[in-house]
Amino acid sequence: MSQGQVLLFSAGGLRLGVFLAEVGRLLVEEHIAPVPFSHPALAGVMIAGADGPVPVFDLHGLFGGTPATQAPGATVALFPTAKGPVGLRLQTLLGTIASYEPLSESATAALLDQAPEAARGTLTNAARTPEGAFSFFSPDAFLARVGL
Amino acid sequence: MAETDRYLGVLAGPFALALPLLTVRQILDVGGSSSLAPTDPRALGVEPISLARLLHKPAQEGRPGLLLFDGHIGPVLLSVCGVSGVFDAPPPAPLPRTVACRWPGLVRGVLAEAGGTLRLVLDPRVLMGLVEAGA
Repeated sequence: MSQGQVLLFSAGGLRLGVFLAEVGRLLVEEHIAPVPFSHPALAGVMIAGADGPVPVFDLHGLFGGTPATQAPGATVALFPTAKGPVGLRLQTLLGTIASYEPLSESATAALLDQAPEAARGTLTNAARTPEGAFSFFSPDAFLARVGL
Repeated sequence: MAETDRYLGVLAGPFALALPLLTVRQILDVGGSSSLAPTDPRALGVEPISLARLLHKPAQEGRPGLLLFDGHIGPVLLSVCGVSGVFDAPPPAPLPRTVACRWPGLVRGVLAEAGGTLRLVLDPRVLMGLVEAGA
């Protein structure tokens, strides 16, 4: 077993985790403004208090779907990145865990194979909890994936 | 007292937008059920361009609002899905660099209304360029 606080959530139909230390804040989506001619995964911008306008991405858009224009009440995880805070709309917030069992290389690869191809560059390792397996989501890799 | 500018709030497909009022030559029709203004004769012969479709999104159903602009090479008539009114607001907060738009400069920034609604402020010069480029 490995130790570490991990935030578990689902987004874009995937069960994902991110180290809690990588999460700046969790916000509740209220008002969002879609931006014309932006990346398909960008749901829009929202005001995040003193951080001002921040982008809110939705993994459905990365996988070829159309993100909902508005998702009031949805949880948005705000990740501090080198280019500024970036939000990710969570489908479901599953909670936090303090330990997990890392998957073997082959099991990680098998899990990645089940994910949409566009997601693969944004996912690193995989692990398991009693409730099931999850992949680690990398905010920086995601930004690179959407060309930022 | 913070400096404010006057804007026209409009709806174009899914986009809640604000246009600097001084750049709108004339509001020909506010659209919806509240107005059935006759078409301004000066606009005759100028085919309306749907702002929503210009931004690559479907327009909403209903009677559109009509706005006349001075384009770079002539008058431009834009139809919008709704006109929500005129309001004063401080300068918009610029979009962060993590929001990339295929038409740089089109969005000047974002305004938050008292009720929390967010509106994107469009740059009319870039918008007219978009019209004339045929998007």
